Amino acid sequence: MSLDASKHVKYFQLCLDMLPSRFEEEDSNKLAIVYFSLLGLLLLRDKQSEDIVNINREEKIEWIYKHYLPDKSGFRGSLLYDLQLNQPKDSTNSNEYDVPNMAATLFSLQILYMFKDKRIMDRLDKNRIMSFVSQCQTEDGSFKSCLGRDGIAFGDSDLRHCMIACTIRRILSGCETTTFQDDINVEKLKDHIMQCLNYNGGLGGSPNEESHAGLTFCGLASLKLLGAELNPNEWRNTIRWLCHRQIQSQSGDDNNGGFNGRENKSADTCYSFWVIGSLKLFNMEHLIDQKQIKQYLITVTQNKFMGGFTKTSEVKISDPLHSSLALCTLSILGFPGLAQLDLVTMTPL
Amino acid sequence: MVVFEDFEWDDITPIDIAETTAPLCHILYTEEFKKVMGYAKALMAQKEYSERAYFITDEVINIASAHYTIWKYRFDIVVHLKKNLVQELDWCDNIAYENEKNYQIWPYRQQIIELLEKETESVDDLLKLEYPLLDIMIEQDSKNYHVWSHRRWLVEKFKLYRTQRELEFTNDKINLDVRNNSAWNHRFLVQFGDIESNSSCDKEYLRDEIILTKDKIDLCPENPSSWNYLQAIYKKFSVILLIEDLNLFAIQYTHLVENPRVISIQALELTAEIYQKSDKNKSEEIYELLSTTYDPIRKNYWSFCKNLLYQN
Repeated sequence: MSLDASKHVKYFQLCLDMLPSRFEEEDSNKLAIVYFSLLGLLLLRDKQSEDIVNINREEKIEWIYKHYLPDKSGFRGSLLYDLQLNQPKDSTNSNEYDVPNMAATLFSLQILYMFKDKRIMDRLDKNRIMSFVSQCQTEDGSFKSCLGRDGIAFGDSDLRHCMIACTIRRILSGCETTTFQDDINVEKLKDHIMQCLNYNGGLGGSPNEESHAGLTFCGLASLKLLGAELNPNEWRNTIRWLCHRQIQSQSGDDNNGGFNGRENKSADTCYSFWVIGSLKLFNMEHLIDQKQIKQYLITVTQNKFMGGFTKTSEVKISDPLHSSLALCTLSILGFPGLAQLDLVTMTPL
Repeated sequence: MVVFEDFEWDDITPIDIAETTAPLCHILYTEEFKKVMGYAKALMAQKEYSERAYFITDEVINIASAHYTIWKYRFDIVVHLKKNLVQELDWCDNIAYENEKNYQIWPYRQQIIELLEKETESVDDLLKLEYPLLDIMIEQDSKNYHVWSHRRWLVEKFKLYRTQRELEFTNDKINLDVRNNSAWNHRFLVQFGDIESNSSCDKEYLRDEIILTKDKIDLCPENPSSWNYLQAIYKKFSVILLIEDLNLFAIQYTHLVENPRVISIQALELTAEIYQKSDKNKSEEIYELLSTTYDPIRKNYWSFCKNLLYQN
């Protein structure tokens, strides 16, 4: 049972290099592809993967800063949104259709952090970014994904955006307890997250929605980022629900040992991370069968041909999200040769 | 069908879509993508709300539905041009069918519904526009999270709790696949979403729902969805319902009766929980059985449960 590290390095290198035209539709998610690929490479922590990260590092950092809006409020998801691209820059640019996006802002911060950009705190305006984030918070405590020029937040909203807001806040405040001119409403946010707790113990994307392991991680991680202590005694039902996500397959099919994200669904690589990561937040990751999940990831979804990991045994093509989350899982489980993961900032230690 | 050539474009200078080469994740855009995006950017830059702008948003959404401000742009155009909102929802239907996992389409649709709400007197007329789409999409993918989430939004917005339509819908979905957890979750919202925990609820009504759930459990005693649903009712109304009363029902699916039809992990787990107060040895024995025989993949979890028996 071994990890084909050199194939994985090549796979992530390919993702960071050039993508075929079918990735056009993912253009707005490009920073996510960069983030997951870098995370994967750094978890693999060998000489080759470090070289790939470091080559033309300055140029890459500058390219990320191109996504930072002239008004310093946050980052855009792609240069496709820059309506003044290759034109004289106007720092008062306030076009309604070139606005900061929560996910893009977090991915940019994480990427700059992983590139060890030393000037990050000089170049970014912490207060303006937190002002943008706090304006994305809605009346019920949740967050929307974008902020319009009229100061009204818009776009999709679920627990992912709560975690994004909390992680941005944590990265910007660094180690010290920084206070921001405009901060989010922490109490309202905590209440909202608790409202998302479902009758079965998991959390859904919004109140009364079906429990989902990915969204459960987002909710729990948000609480942790807000400084809440996750006491296992108070979360018995959630821990139970999480442990039940590991699949004991009667027929001995490919699902065995893997994790699903909801009741009666099939195994999927990413849920091994969302569940084990959630349990890790309680220091309860020993409750699942570690041997079987390692076996599932290494023998079922590790892609021996192109490197990386696939979503399920049926999917033949790897993708950066599932590939790096598989490595995150293995890292939490202490798989040899992998760097440690900081669950708070979701970057390698 | 409306095509690009139907409009005048000579007065527009397309804006470059990206640099020639990006140092990270350089996407090899097609000429078609560059053209559509170039014009869309130019129109967005000048905030033009016109028929050709309306047309270009459709083109962009078809090739890159994750573009998050194109949706806002389209909405602004719909408002400025006072577009027919029912037709706009029709358009949304088609986009949704083609982009099952798209996040942006649903908040957009909800914005249009909220506009339409101001024009329409009857909620029923509005809902008539929603049901066909939801029915078809859930038929295609019975656990599509986005679609169920939209249906949840409708229930909460229009207070559809315990309406015949919603109850029948969840019944149908559960009858079709008793393991469909999304359907069970929706049913819980429809039945109890507007009721505070432990508030008064008609006992007869609860009894009927409990009978229905037990019937579904009997069809498939190893289904966590129906077991969780049953226990959720007991927890929500714990003032009038005692979880201990489920013991006789649950043990039918355990080794504690002679010749059980099937041994269910969920039944064993519930029985072990119920015995925690009255007979710790029995709980321990059940956790042991789960760990060694019926559910060994969770042996660490079962031993954690066993250890907790003596800590409280």
